[in-house]
Amino acid sequence: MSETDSLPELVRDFELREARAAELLDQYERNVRHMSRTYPGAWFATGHKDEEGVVDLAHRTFTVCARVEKGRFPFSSRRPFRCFVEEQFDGRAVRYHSFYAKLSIARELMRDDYARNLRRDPVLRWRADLYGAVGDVLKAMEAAGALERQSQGNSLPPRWAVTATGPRLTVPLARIEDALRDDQNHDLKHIVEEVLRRGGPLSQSRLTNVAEAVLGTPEAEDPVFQTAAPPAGVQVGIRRSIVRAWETLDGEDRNLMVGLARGDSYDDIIARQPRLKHRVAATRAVTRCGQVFLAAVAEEAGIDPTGGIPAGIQPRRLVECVLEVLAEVVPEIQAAVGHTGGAR
Amino acid sequence: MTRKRNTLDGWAALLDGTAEGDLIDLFGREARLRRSAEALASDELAEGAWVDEAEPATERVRLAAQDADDSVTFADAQVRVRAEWDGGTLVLVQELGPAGVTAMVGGTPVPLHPGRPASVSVDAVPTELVLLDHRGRRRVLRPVT
Repeated sequence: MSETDSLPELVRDFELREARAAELLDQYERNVRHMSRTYPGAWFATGHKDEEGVVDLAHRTFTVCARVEKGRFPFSSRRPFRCFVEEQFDGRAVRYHSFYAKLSIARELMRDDYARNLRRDPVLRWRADLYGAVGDVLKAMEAAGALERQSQGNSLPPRWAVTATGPRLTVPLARIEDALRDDQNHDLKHIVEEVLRRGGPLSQSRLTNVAEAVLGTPEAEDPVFQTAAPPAGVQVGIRRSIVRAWETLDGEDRNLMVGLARGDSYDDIIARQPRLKHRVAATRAVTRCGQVFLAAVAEEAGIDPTGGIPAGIQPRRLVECVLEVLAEVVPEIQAAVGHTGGAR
Repeated sequence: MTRKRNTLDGWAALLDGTAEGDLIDLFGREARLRRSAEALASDELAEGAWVDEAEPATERVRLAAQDADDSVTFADAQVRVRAEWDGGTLVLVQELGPAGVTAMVGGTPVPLHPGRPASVSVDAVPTELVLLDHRGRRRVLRPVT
């Protein structure tokens, strides 16, 4: 492949002269198609591994490489195509960083799509909640001295192990799953304990997979969730209105919203906001901020003010929408919710 | 102004907890879900879930298991997969069930497309076939006669 590898030349021609874009995009589509073949549909923007999802991913990978400065190695605050040209990468290196590396541009986009689907699909939401619940169990057991974290090195999540009590044999996870499924005790702490005790150290995400296999996911028919984005005009308008509303809030109200985005409880909010002395005051303040966002969105969407609450509008959807936009554009909220900001 | 106030009054009722839950709790649940979703996706990415770093082969290799004499069908209520083994390569054909399914054979993900053969190198025919649906949920198919 290396002797006839045209990819470096295509990247150079596009980066320096904006030429041969179609040929380069074609190579991006071909490689994304191959790289993404092993992933389940949940990792695609559409929620399905179909032609639309794969082509969409290829085009976004191309766009990021062409337009977005990336801070991490090897890009060093350069656009990937610029980096590939300046570093004179061969075709294999271009493909590695664009598609095939564990942390490639395309895979990072897939991670963001998966995270978005985890928040929207009812079954996947259940998995994300389970991951959070497993995390709570792990932290509680660590605090009690029953577990310890084992570092796996840079950029890898830690593994969790039962506090050392001498050598022991480990059992294949499939056998542990079978045994736990037959067990009547489906308490999550019991499952985590048993898996770590018998299966050896595991990361939180692997523990979640095992717990999911034991507990069984809730059944839901496929078309229950919509991953398709609303029309671009609507999206831009809502984004603009929420940002405008954010700018009208004073410092204390902004701090309140950051706390909400972080998931603070009543007690946290009252402790951090001296002016909010009790729960009623906190509720009033949150309601007032919520109304500011609602008014801005309603105005932007041209919703009939006399019609009351539009059909199908749920508080959860509204909150999700506000957080979604704020997490993308407000640095304090980004930090609060751990948003990856397009996998920089 | 009055019209807008009417709207806000209506929506305020929804927001102040009379319609569905408390707004602080709602924000808390959503924020927690966001954090869990981001962390889970990042963990799975960092751990290389689903990663196969191999580039596509430059030449297509003809699958050589069409005349295999060792075949077995795996199935559950929704999915059926026929497997044929020639002593080195296992060829899987999904005969029934939805698209977007991936078989895990000896730790190797093998994407299946209904009616189309997909191959993987193995030392023996597995005793059961583990599948992942398009959400990544696991199901185990057993041999059927």
